Amino acid sequence: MKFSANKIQLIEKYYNKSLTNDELEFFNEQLAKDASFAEEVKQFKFIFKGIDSVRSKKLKRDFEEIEKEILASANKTSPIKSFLRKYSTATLAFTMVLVVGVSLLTSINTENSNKNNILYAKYFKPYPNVIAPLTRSAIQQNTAIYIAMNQYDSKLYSDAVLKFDQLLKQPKLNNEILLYKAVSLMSEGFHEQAKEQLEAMDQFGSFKNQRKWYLALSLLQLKDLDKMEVLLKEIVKDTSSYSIYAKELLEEFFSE
Amino acid sequence: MSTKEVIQSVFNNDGDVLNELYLQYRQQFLIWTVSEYNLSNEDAKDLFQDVMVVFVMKIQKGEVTELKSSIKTFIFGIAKQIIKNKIKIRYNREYRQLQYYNRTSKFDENKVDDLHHKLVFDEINCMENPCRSIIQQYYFKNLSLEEIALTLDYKSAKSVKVQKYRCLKTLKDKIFNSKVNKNEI
Repeated sequence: MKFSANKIQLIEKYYNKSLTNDELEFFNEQLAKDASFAEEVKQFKFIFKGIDSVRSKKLKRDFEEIEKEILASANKTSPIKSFLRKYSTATLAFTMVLVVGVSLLTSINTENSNKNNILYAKYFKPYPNVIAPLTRSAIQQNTAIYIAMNQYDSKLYSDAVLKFDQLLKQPKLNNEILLYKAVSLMSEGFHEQAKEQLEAMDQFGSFKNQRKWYLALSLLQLKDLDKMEVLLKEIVKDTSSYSIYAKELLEEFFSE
Repeated sequence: MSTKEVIQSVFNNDGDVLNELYLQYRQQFLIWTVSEYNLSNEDAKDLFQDVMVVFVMKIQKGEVTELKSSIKTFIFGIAKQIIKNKIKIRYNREYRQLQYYNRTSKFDENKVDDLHHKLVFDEINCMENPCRSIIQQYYFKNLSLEEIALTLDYKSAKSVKVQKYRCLKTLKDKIFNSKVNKNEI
């Protein structure tokens, strides 16, 4: 069959659904009256589908590679690398908070939600991993906690949340796991789900002060401000390490 | 980076930007699908990769040149559509009691897709230059005709365009003229 670049271009545009109305009308006419053209359309569709398939499979492989790298980096346990990672992620987190804070502070927009975001960015920090160093021997026996906390430290919060869910099926360390799960959810912006975890914690158990503090911050993001105020006032009275922050947050929240 | 710049970078197949986008939305996406749709972590990761493939293909094929929403909304929107389609298929299967038939047709779809992939992939790799380079650069690296003209030393983009269609015809003829392939297709 004779080569015609225009004809193949027409078929390719048809395949990509980019024909103009006039071109489509012409294309359909040809298709109806010319059997050899119809056969060519069928064959080129096969070729274009094949090319798309090669492209998507290659892309999928590229993304699978990224996933493997994420997994590999989460599984690295060298103390030096771990320290450097923690250091660099902490720096990054600080910079991000600073950038968000500064950019939001310089904004002229004085909407309340903006103010809430500024305060949240200023006061929210993921709670440090204090489970792993304290229970190292237990961790060695309990791989699930080790993996979960490793993912938490690596800021792989979604993976960590799934591991925390598995751990929550066991009765031990319930309050601790619920807190870390809540902080992971907050780090990803899932405040409603985070609030549910915090409310499920035993309010007199371990991490009770942390529970109140993170609950207040999630209420700030959920705009449940009356409850947030009551809770922050309780924290101020508690004289825990969060009292100063709670006092500052209240003052800033009610300032003009 | 603005949305416009991100789209342009994805269109240009910028690996660093694709990597960044993947890392930027991955965790939120996984938590969202696991909590909203009760997917396993592995299924959620698989879905996210499929979503990212669709996202990139839509931009690189010129179907999406600008966005009214944010990139995150767009990506999550693609996911909702994919999930909706999967649920629809499941619904049909369950309520029409055609599981076996559908499983067979799904198997055939995969088989056809694999056949497309294998035949075209093998033939492109067997092509001689300039055809192999032109097809790979245009379709797999998403280079423009002008860029290909520069890298392969053509006089103009128009010359590359004509050569590209000539190569596509050669590819098609090779696949469809082979007796073995005729039987397979």
